[in-house]
Amino acid sequence: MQSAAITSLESPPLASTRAATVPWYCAAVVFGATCILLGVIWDISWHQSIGRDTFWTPAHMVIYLGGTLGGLSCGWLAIKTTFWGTAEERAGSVKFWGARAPLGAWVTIWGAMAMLTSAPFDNWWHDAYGLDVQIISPPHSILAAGMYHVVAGAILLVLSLQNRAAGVGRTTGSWLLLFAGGVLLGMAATMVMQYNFPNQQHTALYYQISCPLYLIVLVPLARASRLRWPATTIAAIYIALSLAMVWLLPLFAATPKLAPIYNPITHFVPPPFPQLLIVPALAIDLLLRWLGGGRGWWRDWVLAGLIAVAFTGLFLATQWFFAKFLLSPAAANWFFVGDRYWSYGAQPGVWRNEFWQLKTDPLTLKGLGLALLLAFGATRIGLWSGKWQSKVQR
Amino acid sequence: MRRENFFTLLLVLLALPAEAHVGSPNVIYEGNAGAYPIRVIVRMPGVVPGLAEISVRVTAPDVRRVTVLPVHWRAGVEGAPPPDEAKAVRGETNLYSAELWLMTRGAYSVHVRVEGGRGDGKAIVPVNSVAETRLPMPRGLAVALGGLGVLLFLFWVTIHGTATRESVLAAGAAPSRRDVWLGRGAIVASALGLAAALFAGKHWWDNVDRDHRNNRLFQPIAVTTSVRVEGAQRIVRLQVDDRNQGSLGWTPLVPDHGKLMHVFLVREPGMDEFAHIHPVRRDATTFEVALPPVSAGNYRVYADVTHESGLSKTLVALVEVPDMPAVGAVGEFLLTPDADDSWHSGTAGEKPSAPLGNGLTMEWEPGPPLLEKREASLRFVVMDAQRQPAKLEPFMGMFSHAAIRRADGAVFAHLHPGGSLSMAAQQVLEARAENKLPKIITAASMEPFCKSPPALLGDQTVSFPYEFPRPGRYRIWVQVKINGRILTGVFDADVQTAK
Repeated sequence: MQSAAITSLESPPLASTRAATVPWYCAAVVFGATCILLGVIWDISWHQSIGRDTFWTPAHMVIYLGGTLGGLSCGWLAIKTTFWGTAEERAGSVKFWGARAPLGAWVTIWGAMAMLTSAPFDNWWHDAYGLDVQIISPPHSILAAGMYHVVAGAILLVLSLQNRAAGVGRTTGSWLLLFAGGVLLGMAATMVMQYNFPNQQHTALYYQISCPLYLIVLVPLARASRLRWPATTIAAIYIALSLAMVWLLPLFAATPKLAPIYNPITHFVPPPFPQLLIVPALAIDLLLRWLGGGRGWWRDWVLAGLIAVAFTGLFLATQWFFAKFLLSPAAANWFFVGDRYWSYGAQPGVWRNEFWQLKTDPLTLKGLGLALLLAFGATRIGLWSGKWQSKVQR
Repeated sequence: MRRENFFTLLLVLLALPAEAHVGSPNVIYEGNAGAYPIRVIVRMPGVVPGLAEISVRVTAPDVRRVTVLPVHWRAGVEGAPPPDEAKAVRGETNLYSAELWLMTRGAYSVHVRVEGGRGDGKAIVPVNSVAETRLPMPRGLAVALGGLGVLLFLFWVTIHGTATRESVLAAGAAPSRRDVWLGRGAIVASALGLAAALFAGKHWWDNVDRDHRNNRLFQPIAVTTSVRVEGAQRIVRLQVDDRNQGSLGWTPLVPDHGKLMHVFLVREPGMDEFAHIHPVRRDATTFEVALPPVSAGNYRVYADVTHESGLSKTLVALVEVPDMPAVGAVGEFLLTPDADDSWHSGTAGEKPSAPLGNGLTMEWEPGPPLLEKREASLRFVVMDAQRQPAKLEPFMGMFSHAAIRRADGAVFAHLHPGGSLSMAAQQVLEARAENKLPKIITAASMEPFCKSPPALLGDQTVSFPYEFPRPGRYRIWVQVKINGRILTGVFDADVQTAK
């Protein structure tokens, strides 16, 4: 593709070193993506603490602010680039149904449109089947896809900035890229929250979902980033954002407004303590440094195997024992919130401090093998995707 | 699971969605909250969790505030949220409305509190929180969502084509012929991928829908009925199949008006024979009752019961009733008929009055036209031969009982002047709210707790508050007691579509 005939359009060569600051639209879209993540965590807490739900809850407003901000910013960018864009801006964009804008802008616009589409669908769903009988439902999946694309668009916008900048190392938007990656990782972890409570972290399903999911987020960005510890940094940002909500939410008063109330909470319920992804993410960075460059068709296959094994092994070792700790009395405090992520409707009992589904879905060698296989597939796709992401120019 | 599916299918075939009453989920209560006469209508959401609409009409002045509170039977008042204030409806002087979330299945009580110049008053209205419907998607919404879906689909595949064609090209570079073809390939591949995802999504949706219909929609407990002739009696036996636990199980019962079960028999298809009888319990799931002298034929059986939780149900079955034993048949009377059993033969006349015999006539007082989903007061008075109102006597704690059935059987309701709710459920939930009753009332003995409620005031005119759930032709049987005899007046009503 790089050998494509380069035709001199109306543009001068892009000033890849010109952009010393992050364009406003990149900052706006990443800010919107952050709003979406924090809004979703707040919304889940709202459901667990207050319960009563309308379209106009503050948490919903934050989510839709995020989507709208991203969608409108990118929509404006598309209009401006199409009709009033400079030659440089037009040259750095892709053509889409006769209009022009960077690829990331189109992805974010799609995400915002999907989010808006999911709202009436979800409203009907509540009327037809009941309010959020299951968190993961078809309309919520469309909403999740929309939110994911808003963030993915933000990442693509920043990537194109980074890739156009000269040299390796800290460049325009490189930190913003990792921050957006942290948001994306947080979003992935939140979307599967119903499978990653500490009480579920000894089941096979937890590892079969978590390992491929986190790898498919971390590996491409780690490969595309030009910073030194990208996966570790992304994991750290995810943990920091999550901890901010874990510690902030319980500071605000909340009263349940739905019956039955079995757990009379007085403040917002926090999410469980985040997963310690920083440990397995370190292995991704180290292995990418060791084997990530160079030539040879076999290299990425070997790398995928190594990363999958290292990530799964470290993730298992970390979460297996950390979950035990979180269920113990030692974690029953404001810092680890081991005893306070229970909703108003959660009946008290020893079940709160027990591992669940140990009889129906224990972590066996077979189950672990499947998790490893899925992790390998996700890593291989991630390496391929990361390679493409490192080349995105527009 | 198979058994449940079978009964679900059976229910659909019979077109008789059964819960407490049939096809008439809204609950109406007319009575007092302290010194305030009130009428409460709880319009159920039909899904769980769902939002119920509550309207409270207070027919007294000096009202400052009306609050409503949903209380789940197991969690109790201590597990209830703060009450919601019902807002005065604009343009009305005495009507208040609120919305309440009912989050789980089972029995709830809605606590209605009225505050004002006459002090504070409270009333408890029992409701059944069960999923009864799966709303179809409105056509307009379907078209709009379909259009947006097509747009999102095209947008998405175009993104993939564009990304493949030119996203990695240096700024200003035009895509080569190869890039263009690769982009087209990406469009095809992403379209196939998204189509596969949509197909999987549709499959997922179908599974959710199936799960909702099979496992979340309220399913009645199966009941089988039979009639045997023993001596001079025809004995109906109702056998509850407690192996099929239905949606909410067969837990101990509490008596309603002193009876564990109220059975209404309606002969099909003409609705020309009617009986209101009260079986006795043979064991936890078997009930028997001697039939009154109704004619032979196929009868629809509606059996009302109230569980200890406060949940009320109507079990529905069909039974074929044989001819009465020949005159002079001898034999032991195995079952002594209940003193409150009653029956009636005949259909409604054209006039809004029904002869009751002995010169008595029951008259339906004229009111505004009956419209679907509009509250109505069905008022009746019994005139004697001198055209004077006859004095009514209470029976089973009420001056009157009524049954309403739509001609096609899609709606059946058992009414009292106090409304459509189960009086037993109301008493159980009231006692529980005052900590006079444990959550589990009885052991296996099902010892009766509820007694007949005190008779309400008024002994000449009876009024039934009701909201017809759908338009159509209905038959109404109104029962009163005069001179020690239970008499039944039969009326037909045409309910119009509300505009």
